[in-house]
Amino acid sequence: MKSAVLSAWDMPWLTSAALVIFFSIFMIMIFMINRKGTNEFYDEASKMPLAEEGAQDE
Amino acid sequence: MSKENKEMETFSYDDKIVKMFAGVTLVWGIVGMLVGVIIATQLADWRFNLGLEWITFGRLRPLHTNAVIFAFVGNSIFCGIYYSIQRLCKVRLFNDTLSKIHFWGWQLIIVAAALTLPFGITSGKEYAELEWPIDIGITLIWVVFAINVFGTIWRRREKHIYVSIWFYIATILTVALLHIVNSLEFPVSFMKSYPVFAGVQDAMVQWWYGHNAVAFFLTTPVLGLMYYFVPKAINRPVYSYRLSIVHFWSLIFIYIWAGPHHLLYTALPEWAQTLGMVFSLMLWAPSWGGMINGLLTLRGAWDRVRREPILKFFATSLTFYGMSTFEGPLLSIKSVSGLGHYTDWIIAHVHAGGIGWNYFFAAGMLYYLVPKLWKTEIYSTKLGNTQFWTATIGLSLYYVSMLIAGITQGLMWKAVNAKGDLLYPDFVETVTRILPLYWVRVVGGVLVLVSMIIMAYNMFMTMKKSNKEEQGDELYKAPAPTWRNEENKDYGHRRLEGLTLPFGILALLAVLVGTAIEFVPAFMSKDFIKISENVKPYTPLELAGRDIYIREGCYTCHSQMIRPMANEKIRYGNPSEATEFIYDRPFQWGSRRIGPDLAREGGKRPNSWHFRHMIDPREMSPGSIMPEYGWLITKKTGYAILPKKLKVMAALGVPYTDEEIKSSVENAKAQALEITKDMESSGVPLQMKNKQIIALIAYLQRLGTDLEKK
Repeated sequence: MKSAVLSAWDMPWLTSAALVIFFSIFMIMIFMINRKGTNEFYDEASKMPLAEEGAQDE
Repeated sequence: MSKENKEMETFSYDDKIVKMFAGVTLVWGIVGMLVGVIIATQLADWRFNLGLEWITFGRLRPLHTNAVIFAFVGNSIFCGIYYSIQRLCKVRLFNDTLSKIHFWGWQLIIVAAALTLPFGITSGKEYAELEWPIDIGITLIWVVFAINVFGTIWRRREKHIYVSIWFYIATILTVALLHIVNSLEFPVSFMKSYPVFAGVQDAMVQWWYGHNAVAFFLTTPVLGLMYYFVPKAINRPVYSYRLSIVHFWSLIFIYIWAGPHHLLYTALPEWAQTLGMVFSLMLWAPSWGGMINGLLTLRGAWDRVRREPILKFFATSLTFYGMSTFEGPLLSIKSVSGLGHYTDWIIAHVHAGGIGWNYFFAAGMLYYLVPKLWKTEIYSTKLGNTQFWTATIGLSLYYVSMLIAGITQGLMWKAVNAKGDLLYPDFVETVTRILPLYWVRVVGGVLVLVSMIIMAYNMFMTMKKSNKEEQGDELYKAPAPTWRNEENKDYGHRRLEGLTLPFGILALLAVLVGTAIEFVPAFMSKDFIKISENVKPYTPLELAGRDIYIREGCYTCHSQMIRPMANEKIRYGNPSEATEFIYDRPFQWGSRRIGPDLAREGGKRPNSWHFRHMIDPREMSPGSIMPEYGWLITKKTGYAILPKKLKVMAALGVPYTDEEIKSSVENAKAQALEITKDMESSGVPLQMKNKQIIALIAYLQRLGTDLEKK
């Protein structure tokens, strides 16, 4: 079983390291998408599904 | 976006392929659900197996799961993706011929599944039962699909890649990875193979696949469709585009880690079990983030939700998504898993997702798409509402009955008296107690099937009333993609959102991290698992019997994994150990106990008991719901292929000697004779020695006996 394998895998610090790394990446992503000046960009992006029919009239 | 450019290009969309996928979605939906109703009836009353091998529960259950997941939901996904991606990219699909190959290839795979599974041609791995030639076909068709989607994205007129397409990209890449790795197998004959992985490794790979098939085939593509079709149906943008970005990355990253919750209550060290459990619990956040994003998109339009079938289906679908993604992590908590695993609670859970989330979403999408594609109005809104309520009542009956059945059975398995003895030592007691609930499930299932038929009729009539002269390609206009020649001033995530290749690579990396953490220990198992010298490869006859066990789908009702729990030790014997499964290709741990666990079945009862039990289970175990396997006493054991089977096993690392391979037929016949002679005094004729039932008995009598040997 996987359990028997992992019982010999004595590196519990890996989980803490992974937590720090992945949480940091998550926070960076949150920061990036909430930067000032992104409102207009994301507002426009969110309207993409609605623009389909309008394309014919342009 | 890109509207500042005034140079316009004219183009058309390939909606014919979307129509084709919409049509087959309806057909396969009825087929998949009909098979579901049949097997539900077989569980309520074993006589509905009709004594016919091709329609016994063990063979039809994989057909039901494959038909619903890959045929019904699969075709609905392709339908929605091909419709939305063209509009989001403002370009026709990459290649019309590839689209047709994709369509016909996928239907051929489904037909192949429908033709092979009832005949017992199966790899014996849950949700991946199809044999190697079909696996290759799936890979090729998936590559065609991938080329078509990536080619469309590559040729897009829109610079920004909308969030739906991110989910499609993650789906295509991850499903390819899951399918290829889990299908690594070595052919024995045209329709028989053994997996490259064995025992623990096979279980690891299989549940990494099985769990993520739910994640990346039934969830991420539908979420992508949700981000397109819900805003379209309500005609307003998604509630929060930023939340959709967080939703996407956190979901695909976290989902892939959660596989170990299928292996809880093995002897897993605490930190590793906690890791799998915590990642499952972490899924609450992104899953509910997505659900809330979808539901809040409908804010302020609840009056329309009350009136319009499309929104009704979408709102209910999202609600069930929320319920299922709450219940899934809940079931991953060890103590809850201890009660719910192997019971009908899991069946309730998967149907809340499969019907509530997938079927309801597909229905909403088809109510939006069919009138639009056929350029007409829906035939009957009233029928749409009738379908909705029929399906909702059916699902409610299904879910509640299975939830109660699961918890009841789980508690009965665990119940002990003041002396510490099992309160329900006879397993069949825990089955007969829940049979009335199985009938309630049948009623619920029939209602869901009826609702599907109502939808098919409504859609068919909608198509029929459309004007054939108006069915040609419509022309669209969009700004030319001049942004390709311009300097990209975006940076950070915004820049990434316009770059197909780096985005795809990052999405793949996100799923590979969890995959590596799961796989590395599994592939190093030889260094850690203490192999008992008592564990020997199966004898040729046992191997033949094992293949019959797999063919009949015994794993759909019987587990082979005793958990380290007091009640399981009392009921079944010592908890299972890793070393016992090193020659199991494929592993047969199972995921449901409709019948008792068989991990230590060997030697518990005489050969003649098994013989009579297979012919008439009720004779040996009154009240049993097991089908009769009469054909096992008429069909001959396939001795001739045994040397080839052993040779393939040897090539995969099983220590069979050349001599053993060479003499495998003689050895098998000798063991069969020994078993049959043992049963002669019980009235079993000696002519039975070459029949399949003897090989199956040989296998059953071997189960779990190795470690008991001195």
